[in-house]
Amino acid sequence: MTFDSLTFLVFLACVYVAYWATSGWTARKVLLLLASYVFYAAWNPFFVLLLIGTTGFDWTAGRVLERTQASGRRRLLLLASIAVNLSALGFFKYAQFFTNTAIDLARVFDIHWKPLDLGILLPVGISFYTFESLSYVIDVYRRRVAASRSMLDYGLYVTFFPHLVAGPILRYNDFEPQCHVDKRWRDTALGRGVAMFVIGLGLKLCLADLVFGPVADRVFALDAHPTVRDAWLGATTFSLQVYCDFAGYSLCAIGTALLFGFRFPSNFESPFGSVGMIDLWNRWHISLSSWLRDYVFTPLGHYRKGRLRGHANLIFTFLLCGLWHGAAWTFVIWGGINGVLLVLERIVRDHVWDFTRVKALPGRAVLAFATFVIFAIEAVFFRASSIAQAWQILGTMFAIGTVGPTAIVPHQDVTVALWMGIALLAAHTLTANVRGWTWLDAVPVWLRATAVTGALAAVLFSPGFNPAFIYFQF
Amino acid sequence: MDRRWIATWIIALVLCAGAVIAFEHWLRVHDYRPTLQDDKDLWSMQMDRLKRHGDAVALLGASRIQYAVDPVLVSAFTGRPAMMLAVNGAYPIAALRELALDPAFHGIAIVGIDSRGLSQRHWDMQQPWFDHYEHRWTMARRIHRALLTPLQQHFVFIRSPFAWVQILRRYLAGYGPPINDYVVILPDRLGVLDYRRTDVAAIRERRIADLREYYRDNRPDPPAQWLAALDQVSTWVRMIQARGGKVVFFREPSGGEHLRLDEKNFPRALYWDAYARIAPMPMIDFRDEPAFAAIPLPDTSHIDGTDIPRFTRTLLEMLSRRGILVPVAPAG
Repeated sequence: MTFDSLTFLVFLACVYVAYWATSGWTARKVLLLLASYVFYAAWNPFFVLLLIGTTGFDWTAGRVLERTQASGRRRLLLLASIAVNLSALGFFKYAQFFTNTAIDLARVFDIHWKPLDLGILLPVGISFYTFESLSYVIDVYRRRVAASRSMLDYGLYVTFFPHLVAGPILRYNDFEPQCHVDKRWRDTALGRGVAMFVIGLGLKLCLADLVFGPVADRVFALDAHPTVRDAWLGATTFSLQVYCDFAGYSLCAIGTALLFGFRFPSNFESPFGSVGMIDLWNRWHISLSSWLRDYVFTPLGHYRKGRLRGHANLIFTFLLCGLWHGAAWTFVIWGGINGVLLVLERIVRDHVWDFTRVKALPGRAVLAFATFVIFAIEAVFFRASSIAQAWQILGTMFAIGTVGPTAIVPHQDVTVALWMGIALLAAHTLTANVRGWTWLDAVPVWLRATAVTGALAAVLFSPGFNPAFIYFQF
Repeated sequence: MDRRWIATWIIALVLCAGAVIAFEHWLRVHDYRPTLQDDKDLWSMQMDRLKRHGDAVALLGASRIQYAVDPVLVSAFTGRPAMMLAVNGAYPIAALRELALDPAFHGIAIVGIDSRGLSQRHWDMQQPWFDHYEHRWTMARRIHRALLTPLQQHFVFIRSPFAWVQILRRYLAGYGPPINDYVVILPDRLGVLDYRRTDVAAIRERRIADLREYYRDNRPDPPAQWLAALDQVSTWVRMIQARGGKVVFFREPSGGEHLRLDEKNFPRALYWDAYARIAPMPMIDFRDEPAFAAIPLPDTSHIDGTDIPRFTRTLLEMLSRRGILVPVAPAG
């Protein structure tokens, strides 16, 4: 069930009415948990069992970890829990990838195996809820959080439907305190929640699916021969598409949670207003980048063990980040490029020029645009269906590869995408210092009504397209 | 909710409701009509029905079946449910293959096809619809499509050609307002063409030009090669027949330049008739049924919606005479 479907609107209305009509906080939480299972089962009922199984396992692991004092046994328990979680993720998401890689490697040694289709269906959202489960067990192990006494609360933490399939990736210590407080309807930010949901849908349905997506799809079609202009358009519009798609989803998730009185962390903070890639990764998919920082980069030693080791840690973390996004070498390369860029940026800022100190708006706008262009170039690997295609598009962008004879993106598509893209980049640059969405409560009614009307109209007048959310595949 | 948010939402809802009403009114005034948007989800709903009724009549083909054969009349005639699985712009051999591989299907497959559509290069054209059904057709999508259908039946603007970005693009390209479509798609996926709403001559010219271009770019396989590949199709037909099902291939009517180009590239004697002699199922060419000649083909290959009952009756009576269908009620 996706946020942009009529099914979800009916589901949300039913759950909303039932939730606020139910008396008793525990009963409401049970209702939300059951509704979340229904939400997930609407995609594939079988995988609800997997979800329940891993939830029960990690909750039990947390309880046992808390009771166990001996450090050796604690470590063993932690490793067992991590192994179980990563095994499930590895089997469903990476088994085919590793099989293909093994077959390709064997070919190097002149061993020819037939391609093998394992036919494994990827459970939607497994990358997201696995990371949530892992962070919980690791935090209990580190004694940063107390193990959950309530299976209901823990189940809701993992399963609560707004974030279940594509995040934001929650942390238990952010969510758990909210499970102790009975919600009152009059205290919920209903107006803001619905507004965020509608703005998120507008980003997805209008900008991602209608404005940017079709341009990127033309350029990245397997039989396309783009010109230099087309290749640049493909890279930049895909970057804008993936932002509108995923930030739109995140906004819908955060807005939906608000309707039930829950607060989720922000996942995107004007990323195209970033000055430099480090800044960008602090604003892009924040819940994932902070997870990787806390559970991969920091345990590896951060920069505490020397600069060279720190650089290696950073690159390794981003290689994992790439692999998390997709079981393909294109994603790994994309992650690796990001890691290298972050290292280079650190070196430049330490030894050549710390450009983040530029405060004047025109200067920041130029730097933000340069950051966006770098992001778009590397995003070619994110979007391409193969490494060969990525090189082909990159070659075309810099006029060193095959260049198509005629433009493949019609001028009207270019015009619409260009103006929308400029508007989006300008908005991000101007709002780079704005955090969260609570500011919506403070703006004048006329301004807010204009924004909400625009978003609602964008949703209503963008019918008929229904491509899946890009991040559902992760 | 605080009063400022209530005011915000009242303003937004009133303005948007006004915009929707105004836009819908403008579309109606300019003679746009509500119709379903045919998509893989609507197709999958028919496939769902077929899965529930293994003995059903499956209508396979491309636009010439979808816009000509009424499943309601077929169902009344045969006493079996009839599902429209034809797909505009895509030849149906993949559909036949999928039905053959489905052990539950033991019904009747009426396959609208011509010699060009039997060429192996076209076999997979409808496979994406089955892939969609297999991998993406979920309960959530079923409900979404079931809710969307009545909305599209009653409102014009809930279709992709009327998305504001699409309209903007059309104006930027100098095309003007959205095309006033001359086909209405019904919930059972039957398409009803109304040639009074369009420039028939222009459409006819376009179709012929497209066909010429196709034959220029795609030379037919030599007859022997074309025929050899059809062994596989015969195998799929026999699989359905082995379960008690029936299959019939029907070469739908075409005329004028369209028919001349088809004949020039796929001479009937060398292709269609050659396969009909060895095929395990009946193969019927429209030219062998004089009643079809009386039904006009405004664009050389499709019929007007008003002729759908007559066309369907003619087809059903012909299949009945040849012992392929057993009627439970008179046709029409």
